[in-house]
Amino acid sequence: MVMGMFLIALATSDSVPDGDSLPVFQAPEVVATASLPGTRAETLALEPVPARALSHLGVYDYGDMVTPGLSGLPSRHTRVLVQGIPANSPATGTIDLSLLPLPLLTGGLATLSGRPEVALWLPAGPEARLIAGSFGLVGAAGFARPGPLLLGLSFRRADNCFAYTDEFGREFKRENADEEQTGVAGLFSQGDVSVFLLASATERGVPGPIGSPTPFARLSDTLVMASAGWKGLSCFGTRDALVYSDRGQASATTATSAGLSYSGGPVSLDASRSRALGTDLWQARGQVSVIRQSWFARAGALFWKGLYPTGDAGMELGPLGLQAFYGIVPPALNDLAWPEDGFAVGNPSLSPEKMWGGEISLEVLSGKAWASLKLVDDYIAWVPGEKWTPVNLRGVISPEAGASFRTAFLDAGGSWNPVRWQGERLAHVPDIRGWARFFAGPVWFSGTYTGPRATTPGGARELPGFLMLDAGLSFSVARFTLALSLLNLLGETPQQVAGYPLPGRRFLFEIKWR
Amino acid sequence: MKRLLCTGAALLALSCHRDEPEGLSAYSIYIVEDMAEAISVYLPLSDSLVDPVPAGATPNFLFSGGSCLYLVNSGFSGSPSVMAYEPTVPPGLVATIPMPPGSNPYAGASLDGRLYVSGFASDMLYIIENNTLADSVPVGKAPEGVLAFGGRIYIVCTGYDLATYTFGPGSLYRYDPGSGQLDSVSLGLNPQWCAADDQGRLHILVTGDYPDYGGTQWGKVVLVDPGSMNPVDSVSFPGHSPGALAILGDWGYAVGWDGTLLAYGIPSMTLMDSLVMGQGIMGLAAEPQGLWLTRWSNTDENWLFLVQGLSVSDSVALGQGVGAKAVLPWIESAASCFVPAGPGFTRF
Repeated sequence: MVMGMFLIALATSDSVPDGDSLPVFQAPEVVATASLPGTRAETLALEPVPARALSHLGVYDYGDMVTPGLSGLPSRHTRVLVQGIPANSPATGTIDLSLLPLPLLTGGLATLSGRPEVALWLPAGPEARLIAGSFGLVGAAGFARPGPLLLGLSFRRADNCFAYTDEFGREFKRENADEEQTGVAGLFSQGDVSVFLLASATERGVPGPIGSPTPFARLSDTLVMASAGWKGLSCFGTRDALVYSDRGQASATTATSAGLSYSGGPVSLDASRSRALGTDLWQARGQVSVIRQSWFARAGALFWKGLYPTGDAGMELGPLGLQAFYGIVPPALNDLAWPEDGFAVGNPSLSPEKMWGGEISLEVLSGKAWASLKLVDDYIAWVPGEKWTPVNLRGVISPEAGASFRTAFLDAGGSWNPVRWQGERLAHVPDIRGWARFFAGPVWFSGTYTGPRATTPGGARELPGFLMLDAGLSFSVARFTLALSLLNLLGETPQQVAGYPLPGRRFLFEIKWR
Repeated sequence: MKRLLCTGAALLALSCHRDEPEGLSAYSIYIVEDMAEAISVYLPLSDSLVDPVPAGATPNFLFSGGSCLYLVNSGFSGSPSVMAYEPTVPPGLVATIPMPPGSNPYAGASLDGRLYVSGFASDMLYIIENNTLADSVPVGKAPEGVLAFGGRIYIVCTGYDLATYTFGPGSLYRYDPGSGQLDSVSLGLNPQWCAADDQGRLHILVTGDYPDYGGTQWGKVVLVDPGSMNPVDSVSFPGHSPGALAILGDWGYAVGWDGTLLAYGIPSMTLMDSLVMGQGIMGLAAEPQGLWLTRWSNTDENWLFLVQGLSVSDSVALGQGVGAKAVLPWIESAASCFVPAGPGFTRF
């Protein structure tokens, strides 16, 4: 189970459009698209449970992994940036947020229009926090700022052995779910120069799904990401070494990525080399942007075994926002080069996914409504056969319509997002979601509803919809904040993903100093 | 000459076109769709496909017992179970019997009102009585096929090692429900299914360890005397690793993912003929009209085939991505009922 630190917050956006240039957020290295005209986005803030932060967008912590699939699309479509560094693993194409030292990342931004994007960064100044909770959770994190340096250290551990009931009402207790993670972070920033480092070591059990538990499976992950920048030029690198072992058998995957990026005026360029499974992959992108107060247009190209055009454009007409986009999501190295074993084999002839569509939104007073359509051609899916292998599927269509309402004491909304492949539902993607959060002084209360989901693409079996109710209390005294959260008040353990029960009723206690 | 005679007999046995026997009250082909987690029904007489009904988590095998269908759900994406259905169109769910988590129930058979279900990952034979898990019996490693025959239960244990993902020596177990006695005999690499012929002998399909993928042994069928539990004959399938078996009269049929339907004569235990059907064949069942086979796919079309005279006489598109797997014909008339039991079939 993962303990992390962000939540969609009610706070107003930190983004400040800066004339005709790309908007720059808290961390100067992060060039975000979230406040481009016509773009829908949400601010992320610090909370001790990472998946809960994104639950109204369909992201849950189901026991092992937290992968941010948004708008009904798989998580490889969500680009995650940590202090501006692309954090999606070149091996899997996605990122498991549970492997990030989230206590060190204080907030971020989720862009929901076009290709989804989650940007995370370090806090601006010194802070410290202690957390404790159910299932043996303890954790601490702190930052110090000596001169131009920001240094952080975090630790957390939990046994995560929560009780659950299966679909027949039988009671079980999860085993082999303990986790321990240590993280360090550093940021040097002076003038035009910045240097960033984030590293974590995670060791945890892998309990496996209900029907196929893996009582001896362990996962060990070491993640390092770093960057150095001068003016608009920066170089970055990531290294993720993951070892999965089960009863004496171990498999290790090391994925590395290194690249250069440049952003100056309307032009941005980046090139990177990724390596995993003994395979190298180069990709390069170039883009020209024109951004004005009420509209923007970006056009470019991605080189990945060939040249693919990319682009998007948006505008605001009073309360109306419009956007159109076309993008490319290349296959991951696991998709291309997974070595043939007893169960699976990669497919080197995969084509990249092409995602295009448009969105219209309307914002009036405290309310917002939107409708979007995303189409994915050459959708990549691993399918079983004689061996599991990835293939390009014909189009997946993701229409979405939603509305939200936000005041000082209420944040409520819902969306209808019937993602379909050849007219059939995809697995574990609900057609409807809804959420409501009430605030009354130091007390808050929230409910999140996730609609029924098919267990397989086009499958007849369905997981029932479920409601999660949470409540909390938060006090601030001088520079201290004390927060108590009671999560999953109903105490049910539904399976958001078949076979993986969500944790039941639990509490979290946090002391924060700033 | 013997081969020619046997081939001729095989063709004769399967050459009859699909009759439309009079007085049938039911003639349904039930298909387990593992990707869609559903059961579909094809009605040959009206050439119609009935909308699927939901199955459990990772449905794997369908067998008959008395007046019910039983679906074995392996439970990879949830909890394993056995579901009992009335053999109606569409099938009507009667009961769901939870199975132990992580046991990966694989197949089953019915005998004297009890159900016997193999636990692939638990090395157990589970005994279900009155729709409740009543008992379990330790058997060999990674059991798959289960056959009720002659008042006993035969369990085919593959020998597959889930810890190392390797094939070890497999075995056939015999369980006597009356005395609780358990006997076994070692067989080759990766035995998966068994069926009984009209002479009361057991045909054990030994799939081998897939030389196409680095293994060393191709498939074969070993003939076993159920009394002594001794192997008495065998027929080899060089170049093939079949995973499904059916017996029809004097003929045995084996087929695997490579899609080659192999026909062997039982009197001589000799491979006689074959039919190339295309990759992806998963299900195989025999009934008097012929053989029913399924072609599995998660993306392209899934198919149901009727093979008569060792040629395809009917094909039914089952849809995209549904994963057509096990198949079970169900035939009823005023005078008789005929359903396959396990990999083979019985009349009652």
